[in-house]
Amino acid sequence: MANLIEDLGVGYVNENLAGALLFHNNVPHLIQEVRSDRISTTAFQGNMAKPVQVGGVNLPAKLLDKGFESLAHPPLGYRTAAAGKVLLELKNKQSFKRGLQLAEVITRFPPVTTYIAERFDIDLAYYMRSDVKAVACVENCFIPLAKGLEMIKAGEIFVFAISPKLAVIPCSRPKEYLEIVYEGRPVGNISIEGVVTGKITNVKSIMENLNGK
Amino acid sequence: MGNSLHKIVGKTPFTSHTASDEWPLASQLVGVELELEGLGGREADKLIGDTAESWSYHNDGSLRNGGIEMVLTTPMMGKELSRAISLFFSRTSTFPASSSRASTHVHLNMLQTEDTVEVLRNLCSFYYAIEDSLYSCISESRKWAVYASPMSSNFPYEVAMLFSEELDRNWWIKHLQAVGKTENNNGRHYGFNLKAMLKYGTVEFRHFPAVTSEQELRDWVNLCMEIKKVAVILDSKGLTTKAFFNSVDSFDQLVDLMPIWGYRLLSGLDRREAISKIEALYELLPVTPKYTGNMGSYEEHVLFKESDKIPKSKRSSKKKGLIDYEDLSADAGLFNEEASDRAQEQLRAWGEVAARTAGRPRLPTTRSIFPPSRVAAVQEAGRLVRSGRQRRAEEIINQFSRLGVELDVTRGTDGRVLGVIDMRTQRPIDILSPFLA
Repeated sequence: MANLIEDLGVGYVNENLAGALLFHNNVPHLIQEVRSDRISTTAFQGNMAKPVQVGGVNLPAKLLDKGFESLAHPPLGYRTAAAGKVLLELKNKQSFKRGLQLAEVITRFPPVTTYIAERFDIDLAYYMRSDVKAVACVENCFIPLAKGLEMIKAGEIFVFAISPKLAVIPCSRPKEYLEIVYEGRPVGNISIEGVVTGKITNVKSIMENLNGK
Repeated sequence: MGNSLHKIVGKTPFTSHTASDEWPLASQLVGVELELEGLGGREADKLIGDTAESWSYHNDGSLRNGGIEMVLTTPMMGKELSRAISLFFSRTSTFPASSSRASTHVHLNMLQTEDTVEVLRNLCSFYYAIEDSLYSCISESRKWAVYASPMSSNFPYEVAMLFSEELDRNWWIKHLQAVGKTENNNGRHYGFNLKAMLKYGTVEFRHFPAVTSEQELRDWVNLCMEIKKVAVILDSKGLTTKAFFNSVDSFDQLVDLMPIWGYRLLSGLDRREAISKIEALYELLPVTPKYTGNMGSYEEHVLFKESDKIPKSKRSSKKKGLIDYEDLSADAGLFNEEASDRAQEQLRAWGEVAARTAGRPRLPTTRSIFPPSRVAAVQEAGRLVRSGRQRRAEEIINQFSRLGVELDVTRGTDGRVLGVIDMRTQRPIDILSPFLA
């Protein structure tokens, strides 16, 4: 696989990759400009609660040696934030430009999150900031199912993401307690003791298999 | 035999072609797009002229360096397809160097009379299960090139809607159009492009990089056909992909069904995840719209056809009676009482439509994710407390306390919770209402 710059030309790469995130050593770098020998970026460090922007970081051009695979990114989807009070969902709207364009990453919130945030004076607009979105892409904020349920039982959190695809939120319907959501869709209920009572027979096995993916 | 797809999408199937056993599917019509870069003007002219019998030429704005796109003049099958491929490569003595900007797309016609809804369903679900392995077999780079994104990067429920039992033309067209609707590229930049069903009556495989040899192109066409062949065979046996994957020897059978690509695909396949994905497509997702009421019923979808006639600029953003999950997940900046009222109104409207059209019980208007008002919320909270759900009330109070919220809990002589006031806001904690019953 040829280096993208050698393969496509520095002009094309610069035009199409500017604004994309390059994940180097699990740190998101926003590509500002690509030159023949280096990539000028802004790095995002820290965590969602306190993201830190570091401007003027130059990365070697050889990072693009793997072709478009160099632009691989972690799976988007659910993230737990604000110590378990906020569940956010990252989604790539895609564009004609290449790579994961930071401007095309949108943040969505399940209704219950907006409800809780209002009561705790949490400004959800904060999670739409570019630096927070960039850090959220790589932040390991997933909580295993059993541990998450324990934390809810102990009153430490309200919501949690099991994986980018699965999350547990308070249920909006009466007689239920917690709800399992799969990529934006509620798929069943789970009791605080971990008993899945969804309408789908194998939701539990799917949760186990997709756990962490 | 199920419903033929050509009737559903309203197109006429091609006929006058000769089948041949040379390919995995003898009578499969195929379209091929070859993107080429680096051809000199004179060389390109010569190639276009020499292959005009079977190939036509298009400009492609995404290409550079004199890039052109060569397309089969008409869908072909059997020996005719084989001849066209041979013709192209026989006229290309110095094949241009491959560029990661250029790619190769293969269309499989889905309008033949034997192509039923079940075949397309099996094709979608089978592809969805083997997708990761497919990318690693062909080119992992294409997965991240944006123009051939994996289906799993999309919301799978948009595809899963096609598995619904609501078998109706409007339903299908709506959901084919809905695939990738949240993207800025109209949802066609997926490795497995379902949008082509509406435009050409085909499914398009966009995974392949720029072609460099005749054998490579033949392999890729074989791969696409083998995938469809699995779907066709499963349909002929009355099996779904889910039933197939759940059988004990399904992975061994894959090698028999896909003699050219079976081993390669299986070597990179995470079996456990493949089965999970299939189960998710078949079971979780089609059920959830009915479960949440988001998609409404058939009668509501007929409205889509009517609204389609209205110019897009004048079209109402809301379909009557439909609730969109995205609308309910309001942006933080927009969330306010007005949004709450709007969501409440939508829920009520949906309840009415659902009760009228699907025979489902009318939703109680006072039960919602948003309490209708603070007064109502307080009343409901009081009702909940009075109704004896003390254990849950205690759990919620416990949660708030641990989160540092100062509460004034009023208890009766028997220790039962009678009311909870947030000391900071001096308001009753109405957040209890959606959590408790």
